Amino acid sequence: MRKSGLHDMKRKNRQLIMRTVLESGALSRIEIAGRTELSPSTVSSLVSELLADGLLIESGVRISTAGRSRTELTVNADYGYIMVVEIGRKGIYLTRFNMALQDKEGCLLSDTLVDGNELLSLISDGIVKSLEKEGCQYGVLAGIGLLFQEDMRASDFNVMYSTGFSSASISLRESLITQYRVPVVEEYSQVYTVANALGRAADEMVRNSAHIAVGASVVASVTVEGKLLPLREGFCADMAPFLEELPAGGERARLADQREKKGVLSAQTAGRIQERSLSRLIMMLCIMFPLDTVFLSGPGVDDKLVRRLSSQIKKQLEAGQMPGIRRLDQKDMSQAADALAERVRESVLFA
Amino acid sequence: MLQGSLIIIAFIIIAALMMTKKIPTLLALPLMAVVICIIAGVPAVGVDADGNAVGWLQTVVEAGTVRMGSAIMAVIFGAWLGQLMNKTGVTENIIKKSAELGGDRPLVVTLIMVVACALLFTTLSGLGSIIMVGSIALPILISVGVPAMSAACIFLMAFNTGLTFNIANWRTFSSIFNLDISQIQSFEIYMVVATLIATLILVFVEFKKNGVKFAFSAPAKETAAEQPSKQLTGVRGVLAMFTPIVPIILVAVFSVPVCPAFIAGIIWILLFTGKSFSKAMNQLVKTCYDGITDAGPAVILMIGIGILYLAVTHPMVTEVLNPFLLAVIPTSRVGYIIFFSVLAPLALYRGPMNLFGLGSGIAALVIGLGSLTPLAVMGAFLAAERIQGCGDPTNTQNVWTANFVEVDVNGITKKLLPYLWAIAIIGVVLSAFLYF
Repeated sequence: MRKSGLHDMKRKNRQLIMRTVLESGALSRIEIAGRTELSPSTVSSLVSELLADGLLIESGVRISTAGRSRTELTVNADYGYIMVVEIGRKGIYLTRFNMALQDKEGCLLSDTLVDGNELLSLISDGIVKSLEKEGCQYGVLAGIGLLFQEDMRASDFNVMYSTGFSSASISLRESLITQYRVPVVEEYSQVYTVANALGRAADEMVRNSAHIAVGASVVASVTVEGKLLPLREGFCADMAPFLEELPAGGERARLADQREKKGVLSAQTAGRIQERSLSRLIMMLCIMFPLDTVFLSGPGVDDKLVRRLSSQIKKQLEAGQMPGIRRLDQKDMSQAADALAERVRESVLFA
Repeated sequence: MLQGSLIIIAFIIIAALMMTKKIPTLLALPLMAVVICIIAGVPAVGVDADGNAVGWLQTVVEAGTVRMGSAIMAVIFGAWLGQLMNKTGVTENIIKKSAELGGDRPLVVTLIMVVACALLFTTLSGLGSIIMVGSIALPILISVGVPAMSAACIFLMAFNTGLTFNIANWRTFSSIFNLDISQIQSFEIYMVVATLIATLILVFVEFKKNGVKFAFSAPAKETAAEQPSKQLTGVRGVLAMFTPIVPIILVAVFSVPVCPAFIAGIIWILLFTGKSFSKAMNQLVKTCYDGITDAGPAVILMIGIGILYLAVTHPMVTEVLNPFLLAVIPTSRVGYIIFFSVLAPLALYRGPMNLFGLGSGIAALVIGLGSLTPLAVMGAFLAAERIQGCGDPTNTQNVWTANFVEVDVNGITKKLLPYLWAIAIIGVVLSAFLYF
């Protein structure tokens, strides 16, 4: 057991060095030793290993004012590429990052929603094309991130693994791990959009909040004391059952048909939902959780709607229960891929 | 005579269509059931003099869908517990802690991995679980110097060992042979010992062959000893890692029915891994849905097996087929041993000895014949099932493992067949002396 203890310690020290370099950009060995409080000899030996593994590179020489010159170390941007696939109803995008999370390049894989097997083949083709542009092969693929839009479930994209005689349904993540043998991280964009918004509103002491994403369906997530609450389906819950205030019978069927054809609700339909149902949903969430702020996002969510909702809810809730209502703009959403790429990078570097 | 010949021709045609991948197994089984009934002259809808339904739509198709109901439920509850083991980190912890125990001694790591994988697959099922375990265990084996082909074969043999004691499978066999689960268990004990010994022989033979390479093998990579993403620590963690054996002990020692045993396993794992009540409840619901998805292919296959079973046991069908079978099925002990030992590899490629295919129908027919006891039929087919479990290159687990370690799937079959056939022969001989 002693042996595994030493392995553990070594692994943790490697992670500590990698994390320190990642956070600080470029550091010399002695600076790493200073920040990590590891002995210079330990740092020197582990850095040599990390250099040999190709995770770190020596970026240049910095002349010291006294003593020997010191060589700065950075994360090797060419260690491999990270691919982030954003899966949404409006399209599927692939973005390639290098290990420094720069040199970002994206492409549209599909402008429609596809099933798991088709998505797997689109991702494979996209990865090949993206790497070919760089004159690289599979070997330089370091990790993959799958970013699902709020109202989608990873299980919607299960892949049928068939041998002709027998078959089994496996997740897209498992298929990609099987194909590329690299870390694959799954995440919902909700996690990042709320974290982003909370990050910006930190100075205003927003600790408890809800995020309602209005798309083909309406999905909510709740953050209490800065942490996302686990709900029925991961961190998000489908709120559609609470929003059935739509006209009954033929009208509902027509709307369902429209939803089927277009993939998203029309502005008019969304408007109807938003006016009546959203205010009811927000009130329900306010009763269930002590919310400071409710974030709204999605097509059709604009400042006017936010103002109307605020005034409607204000009339019905007691003063102490009234949350601030804010709109999350698209800028918050676009940063989700970058945030996921960072997580994938960590899973690659800290393995 | 004509009807019997036509049924055999139909059987051969549908088997050929299935083996040439023209139609999937899940369609082939009910199709064969319907064709057999039509040829045997069973009416589609009808009642006998006492008013009992006799038509194949009622007695075969409708009744067949629920014939394996209890086995289907066992598979679903097993898959639910399997999902919980995967999602709570129990599976990952068992493998990684086992690897740690072995340190950097390749043979010890391999042997411990065999035991850990076998233990896990007593409860886990489905390709998702194979991927979960294989994507951790295979890199560990390769990183300590085991060649890719040997690692794949050892992993699949360990899986096959565990599968012998998979209580959801016991329930399935119990339904197919119409036997009590304790009777299945009593034979599977011999089979698990035989499979484990064969696995150990495989490990030692592979190590002997690659001795020089192992002596100079690189030390285990850091990834091999990588910590689980969800660490289970303390007494609760240790108890959580006992989850796979909870249902087996309940069924094998205390004769608890299979589904309640799995429910006990589910409660056990939630007790020792749950961080809070609400999180545990969320995980319970989510893993239930995922477990049902995992069990989907097995469920639909069992519906087909149930329909085929009732078709071949329909009195009008047995009347037609019995003369043919009586001419083929051996009546002496030696004949039984030779017949089933030679035919055991027909479990490959979804052949007629495969219980998860046409074999279920043939087993029912042979039992219906009455010349062999149900126990003797069970012994012969369960012995052949050892070959199918990890030797069939059409299994999703074989194809996945071969792809993952980048070796030829048929190469795995070639390497494993001598071991698996030997186990099957031992099983048939044992069955001949125990049940004939």
